[in-house]
Amino acid sequence: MTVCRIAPTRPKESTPYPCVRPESLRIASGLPRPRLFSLSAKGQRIITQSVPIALALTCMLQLSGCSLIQTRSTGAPIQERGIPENVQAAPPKQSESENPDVVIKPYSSGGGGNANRVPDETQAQSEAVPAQQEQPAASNNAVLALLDNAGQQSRSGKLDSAAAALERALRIEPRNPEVWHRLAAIRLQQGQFDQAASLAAKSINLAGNNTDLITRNKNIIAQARRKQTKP
Amino acid sequence: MPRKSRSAVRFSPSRKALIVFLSALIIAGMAYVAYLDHTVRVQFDGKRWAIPARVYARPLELFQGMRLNPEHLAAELTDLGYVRTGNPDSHGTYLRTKGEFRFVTRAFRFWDTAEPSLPVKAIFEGSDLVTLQNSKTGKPIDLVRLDPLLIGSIYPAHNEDRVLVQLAEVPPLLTKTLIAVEDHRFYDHHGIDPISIVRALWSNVRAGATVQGGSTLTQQLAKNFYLTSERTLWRKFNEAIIALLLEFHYSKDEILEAYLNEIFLGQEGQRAVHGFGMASYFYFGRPLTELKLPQFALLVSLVRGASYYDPRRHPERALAQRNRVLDVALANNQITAQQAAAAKQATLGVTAKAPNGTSPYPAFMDLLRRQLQRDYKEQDLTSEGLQIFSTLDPRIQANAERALVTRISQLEKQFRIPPRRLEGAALITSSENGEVLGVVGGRDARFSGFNRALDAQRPIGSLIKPVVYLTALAMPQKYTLATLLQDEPVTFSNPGSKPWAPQNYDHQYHGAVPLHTALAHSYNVPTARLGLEVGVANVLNTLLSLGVERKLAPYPSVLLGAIDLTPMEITQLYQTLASGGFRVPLRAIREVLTAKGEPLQHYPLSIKQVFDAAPIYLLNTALQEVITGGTARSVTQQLPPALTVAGKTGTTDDMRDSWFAGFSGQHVAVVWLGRDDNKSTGLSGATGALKVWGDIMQGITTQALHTTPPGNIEYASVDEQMQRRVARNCSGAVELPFINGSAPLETASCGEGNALTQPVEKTLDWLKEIFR
Repeated sequence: MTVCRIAPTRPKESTPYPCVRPESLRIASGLPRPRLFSLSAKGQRIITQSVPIALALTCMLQLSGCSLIQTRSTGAPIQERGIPENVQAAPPKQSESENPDVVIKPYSSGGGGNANRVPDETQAQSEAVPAQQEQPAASNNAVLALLDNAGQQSRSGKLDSAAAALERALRIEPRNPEVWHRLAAIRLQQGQFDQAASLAAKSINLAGNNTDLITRNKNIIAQARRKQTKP
Repeated sequence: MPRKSRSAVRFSPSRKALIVFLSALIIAGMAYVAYLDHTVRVQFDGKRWAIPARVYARPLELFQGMRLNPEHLAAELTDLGYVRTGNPDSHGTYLRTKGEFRFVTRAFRFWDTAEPSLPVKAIFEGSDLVTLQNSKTGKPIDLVRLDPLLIGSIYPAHNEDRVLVQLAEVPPLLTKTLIAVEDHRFYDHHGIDPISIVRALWSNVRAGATVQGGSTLTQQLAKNFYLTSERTLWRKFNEAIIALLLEFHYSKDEILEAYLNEIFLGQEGQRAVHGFGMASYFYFGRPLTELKLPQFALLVSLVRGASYYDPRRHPERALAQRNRVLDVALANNQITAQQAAAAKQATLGVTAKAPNGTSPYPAFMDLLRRQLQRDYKEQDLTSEGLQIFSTLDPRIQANAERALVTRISQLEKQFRIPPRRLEGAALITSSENGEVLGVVGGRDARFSGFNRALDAQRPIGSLIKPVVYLTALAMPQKYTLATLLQDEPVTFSNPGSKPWAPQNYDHQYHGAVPLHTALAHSYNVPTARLGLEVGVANVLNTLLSLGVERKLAPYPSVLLGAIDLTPMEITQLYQTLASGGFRVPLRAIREVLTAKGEPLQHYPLSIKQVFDAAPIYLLNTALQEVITGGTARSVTQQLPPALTVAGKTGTTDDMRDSWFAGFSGQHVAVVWLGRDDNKSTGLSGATGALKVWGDIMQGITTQALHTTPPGNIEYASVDEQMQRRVARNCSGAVELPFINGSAPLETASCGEGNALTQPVEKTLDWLKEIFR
């Protein structure tokens, strides 16, 4: 069994991380699994193996005056030394100051406006702020920050990370049609056409009378259909 | 090997033979050492320990404007082992003054990003988080994620439990104390320390107790890591050789780090606690980095004998030994007199109970493991130290457990059910993204026995009705919410089987009833008629698209719920209704990371539209009526008035099963009550499961059901008996949603129908419901 095996309920394209077979972890450890030590109930090891290799080694020992042994066995890769890196990289979190000061309106208040405008874009062009006030992409700063983060990730090609940020945003605002739309756009980029179309349909379902958003979603659905038929 | 050499002696008495013998002895000795050397290095360089997979709950995320019960934040911090202090300035500490919290989060590496430690100030007004800011700088914080609660581990057969630590993250005070007590010449010797052995002997004789050991840390590591515990000279000899070899190949730091992770420090049932990383959680419920000198001294004292000095079972003994450790550390100039004196004043400070080795949430863990086993081998789960981020919400889980357990005892008394016979199960999920937030598998939620939430297959009764009505509502040209269904005696005869005469629950007939009323009041006869009209096979197809993947035979009795499904399957079914016709596979896992924090597998949100939004909207409108004026009306007394919900009661023959499945705008919850021996409980869906469901919904922060109609829905006021549009203010007028073009076209003026009889009938209905 491998990690990339698809569970019956998950669609085929849903493994964004490179397929890693769990078994390969073990192989990477460089250790043959039936070890030289067998583990007793208390976890203590008893030396179990017999000696033939050792005899050969002895000769080498005698010849070299033990100097050979100092070279560490090369088979064991460093990364499997067993200690997890519980370290934290420098906080990549968005800094507070980066978020545009937007007038918060509930996204469901609907009605026209330019929903195309997203916070991460307005950031670059601060003169566009008034327009943005008409249709913020989300009703709270947490979601805006995550959308912003997803935008940055996707621009730098990290589509998995972008999707993760959007999923996180959906946990906060599960009925925000803009977030569903952006997730659809990411899935389209990733070539997950079924998901792209479904997510866009979901966004339409929640979009109320936001015709602009509906149009953008229909656009995604059309593209997904087209690309699906011509792989 | 020595035996071999002796045989050489027997046949060679001459001097030449002696030389041969000695050479053989040396060769054999060298061979043995080389063999040891090989094994020492293979073991030390390889993956040293089998580390159980760790399962985490969802991390709690905080943001300004969030709805969150402040008690839930307090409970989360307590569960995470945050220490309440007057001035929270180090990570893992907090202060609460009524609605204001100040705390310092722990840094944690998540799958997407590393969350740094952050000083946070959070102010609540009621259940609204109104202010969230950095308590040092005063700057607002958009979003902060607490470290996730460890909810269980997946153990290998031999049950060694450890949390690996790196030397760099171990507080120096701990290693100093350890070295002072166990091997104060650690940095000076080469594995064995004759001076120490003599000195230890001497000081033990003087103290009259074992306060100092003669073995070096390296020897102890050699013993624990490579050898059995038997006390023989041969083993002692091996220990010494291995210690020398370890020192020869590895640095002091490498040896110390291995020691810190290897040493046995406690036992609970089958589970052996190894290493200081795990011991810190085991005794203090906190990471090692948050401990202080008195706790370090206590952990170090356990090296001598973890069960003899067990601070939970022998607190006095443990205290005395801890203080002796502090004395030795002082004598070795590792700590100051003030430090030692202050530390001696401290209480032991261990948590009352060891954190449960087995998860406190066995039913959820069961679901999680089943989902993991689709993708992972058992061996990898128990040995690779995988980090599994689950979807469990400990607050929602705790609330569901409490609701189920309390109500069950209460219902047993009220309905004179023999004590401890009534059982139950509950599932709570997040409606839009399908994350499983809580699973209760029985009234004894800590017991990992029969998991009713996943495995109890029970007749579902009226829970099937929404499926029948949805099948009809998907044909707007034939059926609308206003369509009249005949509720009068009927017998269906099918060649080859017994004639079937469905009865209503109240054994009454109600004449011509509108479709939405028949569903809200759960009338059997009109449902059976409707189901046969649309076709049993079509109803089963609807059931399949909604997510119940089970082969079912198209008997008419299916229409009244004569099929056995599990609470989990029902949850999947209602999930699809709750999310507007989008099927979302229920997930217990978000992410799997390697021990080192590298993403291994993501379980993404995946959705599939299986039904058009409009008929689902119509159906959900009727399911809201179940609550506002139907069989589940009683729950409105439990819920806040603004919390709009929808759902359906289910009761089976002779009241063997009591079901309720329903949803708010944010959560789906399904509750089943019944007996394992399948005897009658005397509970209907409304008198049993609905009560638990109401408690669950009332106890969590959830949003009202949203009712934004899809674009192709229009509202019209109609007189249902006349099947005409009427003015909104007419006495018999009902305002209902219709799929565009399906509302009646003809209009009528007020009073044209027999509006007089209706109020009377409604009152009667209402009376009947009381006894339902």
